[in-house]
Amino acid sequence: MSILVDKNTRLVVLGMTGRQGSFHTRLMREEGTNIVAGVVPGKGGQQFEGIPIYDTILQAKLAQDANACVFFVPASAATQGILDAIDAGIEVVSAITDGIPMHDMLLIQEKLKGSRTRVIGPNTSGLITPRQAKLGIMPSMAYKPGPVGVMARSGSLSYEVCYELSKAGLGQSTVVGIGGDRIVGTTFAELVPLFEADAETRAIVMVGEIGGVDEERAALTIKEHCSKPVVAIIAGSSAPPGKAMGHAGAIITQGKGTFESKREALQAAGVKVVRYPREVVQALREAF
Amino acid sequence: MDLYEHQAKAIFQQYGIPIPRGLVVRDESSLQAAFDAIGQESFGVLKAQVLTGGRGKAGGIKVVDSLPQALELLPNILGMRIKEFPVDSLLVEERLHIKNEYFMGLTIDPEASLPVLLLSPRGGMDIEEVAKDYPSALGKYVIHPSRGLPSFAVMDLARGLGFPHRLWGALIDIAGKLYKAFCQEEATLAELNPLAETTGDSLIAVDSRLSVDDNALFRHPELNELKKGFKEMSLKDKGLDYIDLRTGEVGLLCVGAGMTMLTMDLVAQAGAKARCFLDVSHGISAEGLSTALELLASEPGIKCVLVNMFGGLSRMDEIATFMLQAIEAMGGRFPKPILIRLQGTNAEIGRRMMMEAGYVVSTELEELMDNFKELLKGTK
Repeated sequence: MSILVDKNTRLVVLGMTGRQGSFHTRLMREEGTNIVAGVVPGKGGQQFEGIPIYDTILQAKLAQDANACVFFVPASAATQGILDAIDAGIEVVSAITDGIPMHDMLLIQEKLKGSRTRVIGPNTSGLITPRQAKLGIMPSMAYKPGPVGVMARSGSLSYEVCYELSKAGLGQSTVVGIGGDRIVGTTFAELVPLFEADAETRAIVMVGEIGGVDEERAALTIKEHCSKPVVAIIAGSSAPPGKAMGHAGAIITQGKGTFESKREALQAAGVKVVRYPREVVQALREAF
Repeated sequence: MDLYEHQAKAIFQQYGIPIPRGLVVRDESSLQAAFDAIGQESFGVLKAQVLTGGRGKAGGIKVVDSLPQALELLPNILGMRIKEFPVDSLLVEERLHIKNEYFMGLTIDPEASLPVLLLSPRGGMDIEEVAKDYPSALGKYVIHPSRGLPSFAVMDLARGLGFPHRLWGALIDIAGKLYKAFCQEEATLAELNPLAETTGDSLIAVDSRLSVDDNALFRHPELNELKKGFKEMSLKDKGLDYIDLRTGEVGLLCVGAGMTMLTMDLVAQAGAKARCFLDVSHGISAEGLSTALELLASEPGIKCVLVNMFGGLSRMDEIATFMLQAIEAMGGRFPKPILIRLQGTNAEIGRRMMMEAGYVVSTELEELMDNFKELLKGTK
């Protein structure tokens, strides 16, 4: 078991023939991912290393019964692509693309309501169920199959944390990068019930950082809906106060977003909060 | 990207939001021009242009009666630093007779991930404290973009907050224009504070702020023009996210914001302080890395440099190649102590390249921090 993706995932790679797309198509395949199609507008009918290419997501979905997409296209093309994936009824979209305008995400977010699609990201390292499916750019060497569900805002920090976990013999069920942008398709709070329901996941690690209120929101969900042990690492505790410009941001967050605010909210939900990757391993050992 | 007050006002004016008459002033002759444009009768207010709050309290705003008085104050304000930000321009505006100060703002509500309109009858410098201490004096309306901002919502807020009936029409009008500007300019923040009531029941944006989405600049050429002159933005063009923390002595060069923050925390744990954030995630190129290394080498506050990278998308052999090229161009040797840790995609090749060039290179994070602690001991 795992969440969102596994060996039955039928993946379409957007931008398969580009520089990043081709490089990571090979690496995702090496991880065992079942890649059934590529989408590159204008190259429909061609192949890439034996994988059929289509012009549109809908064509790929109809021809190959695809149910997931990973995006290696630039921001200027990604918004249209994500809207196409929603229209085609793709279940999981891993939006690696960085730089999607915030107001585009407002549009995508409205479109997602009532759809069958879940968007992970944008601006994410993607998601991985080790040795089964990788829809992202994370370095495979940092991951091993196991009982820890990981959800992270920062890609690079999640590599570090998973690398420490794997070295300590604590493999991962699924690792999801929610992305670093202000508006994301899936929040920590939405992932908690999925990990809770997954039989293989025995503990959850949240890799958070200062800013935003996602960790605080997740704390409420954890308190009410999660029976599994949760450990949170929050980066940025030593950051000086931000040089925020306007008042509206400060008014609307009302002191949330700081390390202290996150620690307080998470501890109140029974979450163990740490600062450094190695402490995550210790905390999990105590929890198991 | 945060805009200067005068830039924000120029944009808001295009949407029909009333703003005071004024001109940007950088020297005596442009001050003379501003005086001529405003006229003796309503001259004038001098406002330092800086990208930070607390300007009024820091003495960056002066009310004057005459041109000679303004000329006398000009060099003082132009030479000021407000929270470390040097002042190199002023906005000189007409003097208004203000009866009341209100607050109107638009941003993204982090809980709802939707735009939110904020309104308060108690605007001005202390609005954040008002919002904290008197939450009932602040009204919020979360906007669903496909529905837009309906007039009734603004009217409801105005009524609930006790705004006099005579202002409701102007509030609805200005909120609609502000929301239009927020959407069309692809802003992350649009704020009028104070939004002032002057004699004659009209409202005018005495001060305003506008921050636009960096990710959307590619389709706003006119905003793209404005960003020239912002140090942090021109670096962003090369793919570098650079934040000058203005204190501390350790330069950080990392990939990814989370990793940069973790490294900063580890530096603090070791008893030192990071001087700057430099995240090169989007600048893995010869140009990006040479700009980054040159910046770290030349910034006098930076005494040593930590490079900490765990690459996924970015390949560590490429990083090493670009770093060595950049250092070669700088004269063959990086001029400050530099500790490097490379991990992740193709890291082994990258580490070998850096080691062969004579640099201290680590595989594990602990190893990097142990080396850093050693370095600290040596410098103390």
